[in-house]
Amino acid sequence: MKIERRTLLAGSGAALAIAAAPGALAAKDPNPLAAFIAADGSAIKAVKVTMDDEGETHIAETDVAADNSPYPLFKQFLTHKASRVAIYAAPPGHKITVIPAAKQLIYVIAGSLTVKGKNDAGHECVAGSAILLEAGARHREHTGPDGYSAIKVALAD
Amino acid sequence: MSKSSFLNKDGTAVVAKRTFTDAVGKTHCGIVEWTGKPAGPSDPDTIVPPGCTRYYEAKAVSMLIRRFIPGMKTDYHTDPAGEHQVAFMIDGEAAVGAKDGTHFRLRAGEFASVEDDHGEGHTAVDATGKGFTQLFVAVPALG
Repeated sequence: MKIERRTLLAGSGAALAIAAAPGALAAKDPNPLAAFIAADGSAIKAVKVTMDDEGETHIAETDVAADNSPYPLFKQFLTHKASRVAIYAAPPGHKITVIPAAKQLIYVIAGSLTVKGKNDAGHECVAGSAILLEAGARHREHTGPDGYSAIKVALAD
Repeated sequence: MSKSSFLNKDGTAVVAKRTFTDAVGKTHCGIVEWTGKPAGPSDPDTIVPPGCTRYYEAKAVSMLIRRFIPGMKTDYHTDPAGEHQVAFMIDGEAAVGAKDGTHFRLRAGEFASVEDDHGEGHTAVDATGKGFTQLFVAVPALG
């Protein structure tokens, strides 16, 4: 795949009648889906759910730096092998105890949920939150008033 | 962006914009819908919590979040053979086109199913000049 910086649109074919108006999004509100990306694009924020040697779950916000990538035209985050992906929605009032069998990423695309450990007040994860679950990290997931929708990926490394 | 910009009008399915290649190797843009169904305990491999609605689930190969620089554009290209990509636009907007003239805009909060792992391929262009960010999950082409 050849990727290059755009200098002009001519020659891209009739299919790409994309006379985009640069700045067209500027007047809109900030996009909550992108709120987890640092302003300089060097890192993303994630809520990490881990388990210590005593089996106790800990939940904390963490910065995840961009991966080392040889490509100058993009930055990459959370590059992983994966074993399964799902797109799903949880209804309002849904409460569940989860012990993930493998490391997982949940990216919330609508609504909200609260992730709780045993001795933890809980972390509210709204749309645009990335949640990294360590295998075996037992926790509770409580949906917000509108439920939530998410992309979940089981990670294989 | 509305909260349910990825759902169809009656909220029963996720709508994904799609690139795909037909039996004679021509690539096209279109739409695919993934209808929601109750997730139950019948599938031992599922990662969807019980009591939820499953719109899409598949084996996966890899994932990443990619932030493209402003002004990015590609020539016609296909993605890795044997793999499709489930993509979610986190931020920004891309214009995607095929040689047959079909095209779509992928906006923040929308899904794409990139299925042209062979054939003529598609182009992708930063539609706002501000860059865009996508979550990609590669899945086996044959499910």
